[in-house]
Amino acid sequence: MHSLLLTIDWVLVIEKAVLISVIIGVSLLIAMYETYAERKVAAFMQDRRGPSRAGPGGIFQPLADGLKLFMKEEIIPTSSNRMLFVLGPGLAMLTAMMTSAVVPWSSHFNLFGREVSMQIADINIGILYIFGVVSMGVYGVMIGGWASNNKFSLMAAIRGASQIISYELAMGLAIIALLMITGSLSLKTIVEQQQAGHYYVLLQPLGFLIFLVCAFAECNRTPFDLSEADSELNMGFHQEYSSMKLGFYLFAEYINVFISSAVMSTLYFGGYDIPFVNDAALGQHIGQNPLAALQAFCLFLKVVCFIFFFMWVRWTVPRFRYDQLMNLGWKVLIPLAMANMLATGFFLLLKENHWHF
Amino acid sequence: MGITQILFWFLSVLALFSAIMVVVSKSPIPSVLWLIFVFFAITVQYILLNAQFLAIVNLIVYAGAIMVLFLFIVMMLEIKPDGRPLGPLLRQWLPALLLCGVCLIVMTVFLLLAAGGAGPLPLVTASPLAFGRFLIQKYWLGVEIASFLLFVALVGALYLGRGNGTTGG
Amino acid sequence: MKVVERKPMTLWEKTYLPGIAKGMLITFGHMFKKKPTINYPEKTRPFSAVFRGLHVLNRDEQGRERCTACGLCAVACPSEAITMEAAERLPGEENLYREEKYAAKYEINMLRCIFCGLCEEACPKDAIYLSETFTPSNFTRKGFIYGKEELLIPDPVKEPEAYAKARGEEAARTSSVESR
Repeated sequence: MHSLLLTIDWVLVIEKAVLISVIIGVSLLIAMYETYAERKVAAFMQDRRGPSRAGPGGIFQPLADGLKLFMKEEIIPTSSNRMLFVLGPGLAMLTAMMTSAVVPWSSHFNLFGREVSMQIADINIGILYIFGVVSMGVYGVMIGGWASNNKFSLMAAIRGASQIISYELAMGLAIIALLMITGSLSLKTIVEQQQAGHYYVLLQPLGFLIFLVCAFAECNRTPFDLSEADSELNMGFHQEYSSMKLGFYLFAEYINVFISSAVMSTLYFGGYDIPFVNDAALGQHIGQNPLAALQAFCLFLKVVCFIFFFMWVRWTVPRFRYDQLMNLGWKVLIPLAMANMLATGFFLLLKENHWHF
Repeated sequence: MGITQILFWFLSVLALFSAIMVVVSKSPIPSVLWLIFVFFAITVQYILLNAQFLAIVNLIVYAGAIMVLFLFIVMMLEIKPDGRPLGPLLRQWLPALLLCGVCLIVMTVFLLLAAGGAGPLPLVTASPLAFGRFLIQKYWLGVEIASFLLFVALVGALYLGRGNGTTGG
Repeated sequence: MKVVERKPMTLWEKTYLPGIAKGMLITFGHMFKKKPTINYPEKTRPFSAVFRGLHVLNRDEQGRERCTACGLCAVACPSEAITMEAAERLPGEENLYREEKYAAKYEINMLRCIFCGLCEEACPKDAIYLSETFTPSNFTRKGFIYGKEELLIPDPVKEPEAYAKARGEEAARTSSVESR
C-alpha cells in the first residue's frame, strides 16, 4: 500500500488537475451563458427580444450581471447564524461542481504519447456517486434557509428539502431499472454499451420520463420551483441573500441544470456517442484525437438540447401546488417507477431463459 | 507516513472531534450538522478501505437522507435550548461515560483476542456487483427480515401518527 | 354561447402529458413569431399628428419671443402647472420681444402637467406648443420645473442649426397646423 502511494504518477495528477480545471471552467462558462439563454428563450417565447444591449445581441449580458452581483452590497442579517449563512451558498456551489467528476465527456485523446481519458474519475459506482452528491445538495438550501432566520426562508427550505427527498426516491427507482439492463454503475461502461447497441431511451422510455421529471424537481426548476415560489414565499430560501452569495445560489442552479442534462444524455442518449455513425470505424478514418473532439462536441450538442428543453418547460408549464407536487411524487412517480422496475426485471428474466421477442 | 495514513489520522481526528461536538452542542441544529461531518469523515474512511460502494451508500443513506430528515424535523419543531441546566454535571455525563467505558473494554477485549490472527487484511475491491450478489444470495434471509422490520416500523409509525383517526394528514 | 364540457378526464388526459405537449408546442411556435418590440432610443414609433409632449415657447421669424405674458395659458391649465411673471419691454429690447409686454419668468412644472394641450389652444399668440419630446428624466423634483431656458426654442437668427433641429421634431405638426 505504501509503495503504491509513494510512487505517485505525477503526470497523471497533472493531467487530472488540468482536466478538472477545464471542466470546472467550462461548467462555469456554460452556467453563465445559461442565464443569458434563459432570458433569451423566455423572451422569444413571450414575443419579446430579451437582453440586447450589452454587446452584439446582448452577448456580454452575463458579464454585466456578474459584475453587478459582485459590486452589490453584501448584507448579512444581524439575527442570522453567520457561519451557516455563509456556508449555505458555498455548499450549494460545491455540490453542484462535484457532480461533474464522473461524467465521461468524451472517449480519450492521445496526447504526448499518453491516453488522456476525458473523465475525471472512472469509478465503478459512478451513478451512485452522482446520487450521493446530489443528495448532499439539499443542505445548501436547508442550511441557507434556516440560517437566514426568516420564516419565509425557513418554509421554503423545508419545502425544497421535502421535495428533493421525495423525488430522489422515484429517481433512484427509475435508475435501478436502467441499471438492471446495463449491469454496471460506471457511466463510461454505460456509454460504451450504448455505442454498441441501442440508446437506452428506446429500452427505457418510461424510466427516462420519470428520470426527466425528477431531474426537474431536483434542480428546483419550474414546474417544481416551490422553494422559490415568489407569489407565496417572496423569494424563497435565498430571500435574505444579496451580492455574490445570491449569485452562488443562482449559479448552482444553472450548474445543476447543466450537469443533469449531461447525466441524462449519458444515461439515456448515448453520452458522447456520435448518432447514426459507427464511432470506431470513423476513428480509423480520421484518427483518435479528432474523433474524441467530435464526440465531445456531440455530447455538448445533446446537453444543449436538454438545457433548451429545461428552459422550454420552464416558460410553458405553470408551477405545481404543494399537494399536487407531493401527490405526483409519491402516488404517481414512485408506483410507476416500481412497475417499470418490475417489468424490466420480468423481461430480463425471460431473456435470460432464452425467450426471443 | 504515506498519504493514506495521514488521511486516516486526519479523518479519525475529524470524526472524533465532530462526534464530541455533536454531544456538546447546545442547540440541536449545529449538533445535526456536526453529525453530518461525522458521516462524511466515515465515508472517506470507507473509500480509503477501498469499499467504494459502502462509502457511497453511507453517504446517500445517512448523510443524504436520514440527516436531512433529522434536520427537517428539528427545523419544523423549532427546538431551542431553553438555557436551563440539565441537572448536576455528574448525572449528565455519568451514563455516557459508563457506556463509553463498556464499549472501550469490549473493543479492547476483541482486539486482544484477535491479536494473533490480526494483520493487514487482503486488499479487495468490493465491486457493487459482487457485493450485491453476496448480500442477496448469501444473506437473503437477513436482508428480507431487516426490510420487513423496517416496513413494519413504517406502518406502525403511520398508524401512531394518525392518532384516533379523526386527525390525520 | 359556448357550453363548457365538464366530463371527467380520461386516463390519458390525467397524465397531463398531452396537455403539457400542447402547451409546449404553442410556446415553441411563439419563438418564431415576429417580435412587436421597437428598439426604443434608436427607433421611435411614428407619433400621431396631435401628439402632446413637452412644451416649447416659440419665437417668430426674427427670433423674438412671441409670448406676451397674458396669462391665458395659466388660466386654461387644469392642473395649475404654469406660473409666469410679466415685465414691460424696455426701449432697445425690440429685437428680443415681439410685443410691449413679455414674460420675465415662465415656469411649467412638468410633474403637475397632464399634457392636455389646453395651454396651446388658449394661447392667442401661437407662443406655446407641445412638442414631440417626452420622457424627461432628472435626479430631483426641482429639475422638473422647467424655466424659460429649457422651454424657449433656439433663436432662428443666431443659432439656425439648433433651431432647425428643435423644429425638426415638430415640423410635421406645426406645418399641418399652419396649413389649416
